[in-house]
Amino acid sequence: MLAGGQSLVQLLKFRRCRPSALVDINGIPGLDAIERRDGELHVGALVRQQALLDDPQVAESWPLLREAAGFVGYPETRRRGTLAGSLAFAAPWAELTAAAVALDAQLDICSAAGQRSLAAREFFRGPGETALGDGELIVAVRFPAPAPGTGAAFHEVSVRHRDYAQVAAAAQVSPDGHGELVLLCVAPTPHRVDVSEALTRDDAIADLLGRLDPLDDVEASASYRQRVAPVLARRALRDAAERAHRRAPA
Amino acid sequence: MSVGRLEGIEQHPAAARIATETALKEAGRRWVGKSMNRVEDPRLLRGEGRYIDDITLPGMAHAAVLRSPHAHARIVSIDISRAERLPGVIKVLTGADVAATAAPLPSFGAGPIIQDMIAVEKVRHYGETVAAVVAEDRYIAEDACDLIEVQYEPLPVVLDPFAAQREDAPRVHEKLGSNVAYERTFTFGDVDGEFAAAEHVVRAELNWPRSTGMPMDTNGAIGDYDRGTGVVTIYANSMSFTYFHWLIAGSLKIPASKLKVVPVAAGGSFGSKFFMHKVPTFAGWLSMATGRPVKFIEDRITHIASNDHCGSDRFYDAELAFDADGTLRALRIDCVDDYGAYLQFGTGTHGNGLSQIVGPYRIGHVQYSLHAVLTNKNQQGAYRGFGAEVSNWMLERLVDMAARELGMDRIELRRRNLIAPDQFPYRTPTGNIYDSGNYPAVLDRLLELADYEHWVAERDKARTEGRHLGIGVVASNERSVFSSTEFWFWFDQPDFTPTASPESASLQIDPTGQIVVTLHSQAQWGNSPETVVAQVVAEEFDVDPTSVVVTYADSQHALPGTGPGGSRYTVMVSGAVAGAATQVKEKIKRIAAHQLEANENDLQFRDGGIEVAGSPDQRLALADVALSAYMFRLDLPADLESGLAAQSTYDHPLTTVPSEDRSDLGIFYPFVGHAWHLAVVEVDVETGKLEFLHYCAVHDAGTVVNPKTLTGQIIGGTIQGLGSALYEEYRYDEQGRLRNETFEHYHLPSSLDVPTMTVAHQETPSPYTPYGIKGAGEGGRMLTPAILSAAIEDALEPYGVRVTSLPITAEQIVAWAAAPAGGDAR
Amino acid sequence: MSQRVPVHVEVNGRGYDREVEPRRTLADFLREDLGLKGTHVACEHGFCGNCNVLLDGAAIRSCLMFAVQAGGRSVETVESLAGSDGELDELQLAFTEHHALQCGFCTPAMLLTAKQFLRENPGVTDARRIREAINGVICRCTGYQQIVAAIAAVAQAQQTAHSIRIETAPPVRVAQDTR
Repeated sequence: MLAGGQSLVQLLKFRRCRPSALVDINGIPGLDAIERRDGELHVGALVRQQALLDDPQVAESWPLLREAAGFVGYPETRRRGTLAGSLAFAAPWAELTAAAVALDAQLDICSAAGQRSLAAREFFRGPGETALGDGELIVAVRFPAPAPGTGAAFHEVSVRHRDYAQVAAAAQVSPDGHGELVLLCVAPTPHRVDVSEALTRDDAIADLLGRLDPLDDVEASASYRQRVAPVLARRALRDAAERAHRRAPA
Repeated sequence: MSVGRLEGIEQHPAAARIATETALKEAGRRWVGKSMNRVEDPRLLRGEGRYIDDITLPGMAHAAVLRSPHAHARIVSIDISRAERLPGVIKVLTGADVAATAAPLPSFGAGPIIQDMIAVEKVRHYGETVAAVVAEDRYIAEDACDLIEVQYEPLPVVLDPFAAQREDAPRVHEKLGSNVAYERTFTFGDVDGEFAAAEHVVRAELNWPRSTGMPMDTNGAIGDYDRGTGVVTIYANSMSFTYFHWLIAGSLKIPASKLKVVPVAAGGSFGSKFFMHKVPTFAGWLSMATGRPVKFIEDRITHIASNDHCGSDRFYDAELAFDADGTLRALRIDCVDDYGAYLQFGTGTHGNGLSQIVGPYRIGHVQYSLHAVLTNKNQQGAYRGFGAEVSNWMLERLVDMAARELGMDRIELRRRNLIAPDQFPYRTPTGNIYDSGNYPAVLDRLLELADYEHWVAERDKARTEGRHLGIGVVASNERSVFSSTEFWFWFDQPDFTPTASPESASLQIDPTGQIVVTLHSQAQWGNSPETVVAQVVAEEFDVDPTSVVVTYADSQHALPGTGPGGSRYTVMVSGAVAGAATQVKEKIKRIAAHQLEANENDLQFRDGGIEVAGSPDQRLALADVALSAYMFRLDLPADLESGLAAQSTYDHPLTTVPSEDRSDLGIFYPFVGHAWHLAVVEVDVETGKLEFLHYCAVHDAGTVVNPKTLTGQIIGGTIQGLGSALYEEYRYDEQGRLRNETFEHYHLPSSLDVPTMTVAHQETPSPYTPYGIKGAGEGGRMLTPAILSAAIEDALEPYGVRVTSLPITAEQIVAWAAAPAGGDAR
Repeated sequence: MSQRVPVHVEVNGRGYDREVEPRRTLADFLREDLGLKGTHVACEHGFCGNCNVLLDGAAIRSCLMFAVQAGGRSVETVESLAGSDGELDELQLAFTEHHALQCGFCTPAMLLTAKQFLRENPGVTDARRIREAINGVICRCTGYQQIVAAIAAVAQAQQTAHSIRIETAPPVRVAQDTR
């Protein structure tokens, strides 16, 4: 299934993937809408990653999505690559998977057999593995709106700017003090952390993240990821909380 | 010798221009020394660069290669039948075909270390070519590679160059009987005596890992065999083909006269296309095998895994002896270099380092031991610096350690040991000389330009705030214009002892007055050969440099040439062009004196013509002289022949033969520039990431031909060195498979990862070269690894860190910060 | 894989109708089928950006897109920049003036990527924003500094020519701005 092709075509070129057929969905009408529906942000399967940076509604109400999108690839690849494709590809370093989990996104999945919805929090099964079955396609991703005034922050380290994340932390904090934290590359799937305590106690993060199971690959070792994850988590939560404070109505 | 004019300061273009014009006037030159736009640029800017993959010949087929997935394995069998049956496939070839029809690839290495275009019997590194497919298009050729079935018998892999030296280690080349290709200790001076007498010694184990030049344009060639004449034409983006095309002919088993190498512009080299012979030979052979023109362009994976041009991969055990007053006395160096599976340049990369092993310092005694070891990795070749960048990093690391041991300021320690301006030409312990220099002036200029005191205050203030700022200040010399003795002086009884590395130029003024210069080695590859030629011609004839036409001879028509490499081209081509120009000018003067009835000595070249000095109405345009030279024989002086052309071959102007006992390696790299860099970084010790706060560089490359392009070379080289220092590294797994064989994981510096530099040029002309030029293409990369090591070490001062290996990764920094004072080993 | 499909693409203002294999990349289509050799392929995997062209005005990787996907759309390549007589445009002139190219291999992609930036952000001379815009194009020769200077010089000229007022809002934060 070909939408943006920024990951799939790479795989074809590496000859790691040799499909007998490739279906280009770019011609299907109605999949390219990004809009607010019933309080949710509805992102069609053909919405490019760059749209998440350009859309004023996203900037206003889903700041975490925008923050995360800023770390995805390069401008040229963001103009082709899609949000849905990034989730379906499920690379362990994919920033948008963290945002989807943190924001409790719902995926609308379609196949010849019918349609179903699945929470992003249930969707990821491992690096490159998802709950998507044969013949299934994500047609839309829906994001519930965070509470007004929610602050968000995304922190990432990579070898160079915009390389694959060595570690990343997506955080958002609502004005009433509810926090979400999702880390990348410290587990086989986006790693959601219960941060209720961490928001009140500074050293709680280190305790909380004491026993991760980070990836170990050519970009970074597990031990580096273990060391840096709490740092990014702390910084992301701090920034998100500060922004929530700033955004909160007086 | 005139010393000390300054110009080209990046941030003050107006000041730089005035300084340049003033200096040009002082030197009496109009064009050599002027910042000018490159004449190569317009075609490149229009996308008309005509790189190798842009060339299409009628009936051309395309080749792809099957790479070995094993680092070391016997090839048991290869089944090509399925691949051969794929529609569009023309021919599938294997090592058996190579063994039957071709000779091994050329090599300067000693002993039975044989490399073939396609592995014969066994593969010795991951990615080595096992089979080739020639097909109607590249897509089909790659499809067919997938259909080739190879049975391998994996052999034990040897990757660690220390383990490789053991008696029981698996052999990379059985016939060699050992993985140690070469060992030797050179001793220059009384090293043991100096170490015994010195008041202090620092010793360090240092590791520099393999990386590569990684041009954007990979190696490529098109072979075109003409059965009628028997001539094999090879279009290739290989540099220096004139120097070795006869060796390619040897591999193809054809007479050199039947080989025509046509130079094609390269999209970058950085050394990796120097003596690049495998790909052109391969394309020529494929064309002979198929009777079709065949294009072979390395894809990125082939280039990374099998380009034969990795940089050094060294382990040093190095010592520096010095006294309490800071006097540096002697160096003792033991180096294990992991050359990989083959040894095409012998140990030339260490010969190179020996040309400036003492750097800019008065160190009088040196011992240098080398163990050149073979392992199952992609072999070394040339990479900007050719080994001297590594030895400079090693030396500057030792000097920083000495300063720390003495509690002496690092700059002060260096300053005390700099060779003084009145000591040139300076003979170094190895026998090589440094022609000229004013090292303290370069240092002073840097400290002023970089506002050193300000940054020291900033660093100290940051430290009190718990931030980690670090300053690096390092020096380097930059040897230029190699002599070929560096490839063989290692051996007592070398098989082949070349001493020539010439460059040639032909200069013709055609009947219309157009000046055409033909060069006899590789075309443009990122340097500015045509602009340099245009400037020299403009200087000699006083013509508009943009009017000069530059062409390139193919190997059947080429005069002796060596090509760019070892920062030699600008010096050598200037000498060749100036030589040809002098002959043509003499003839013009004879003709003009005859026709104007003037004295030759009163004539001067001016504004596209020749005229009697002081009487501009007594004048002939060059076009008039040219037309009569070609068409009006009877208007010429009686002893002159028709035509207006000359050719000139310029040899290395200062090179001597090594002594029999090799206690004196002779003069082999004598035009020596000098540079200082200063960098300020801030380190985030929690993530290991760096930010550049400041970067300044001052280089002295003798007379600057074109300040703008020289600045470009310095910045580009510096940023390449940044990659080597911070992330570039070949990363093999335990089985010797390359883990970063694409740009997905082999990272090159991007626009957001690099500092903005301030660059200034100091000029101490060489007394031995045309116009006093020294080569300068490699200098930047000679400093960055040393300066980033120093700056990061300074930033991490509270943790007692010692940077002893590269790249300095975020992982390493975080580990250091987590475990203070454990910084010696990785 | 040999069956071919028709495709119509507008390239540099001219319509082309060709039949191509579905797997043919846009880069190969431009280079081999249309003979526009100014688009250069360096890594083939979408990491280096040397193959960037403008698709409907926006830079994309031509090595990661199939030619058939460009059907009915408009492509601009480096060949569109200079005048028909070869006269360099303002950006090309700035590149030579600032020595923003050495080997020239990444130059077409760099020019096109900068072109889009200058169209969408006229007058923006901020080095950081320029570096972000060209971050997806790898240059191995220059170290980028002179490229940034060339683009900024054109932006400066835009300011003067059009009396553009420069907004000073900070750009989107990029990776590793983690403090």
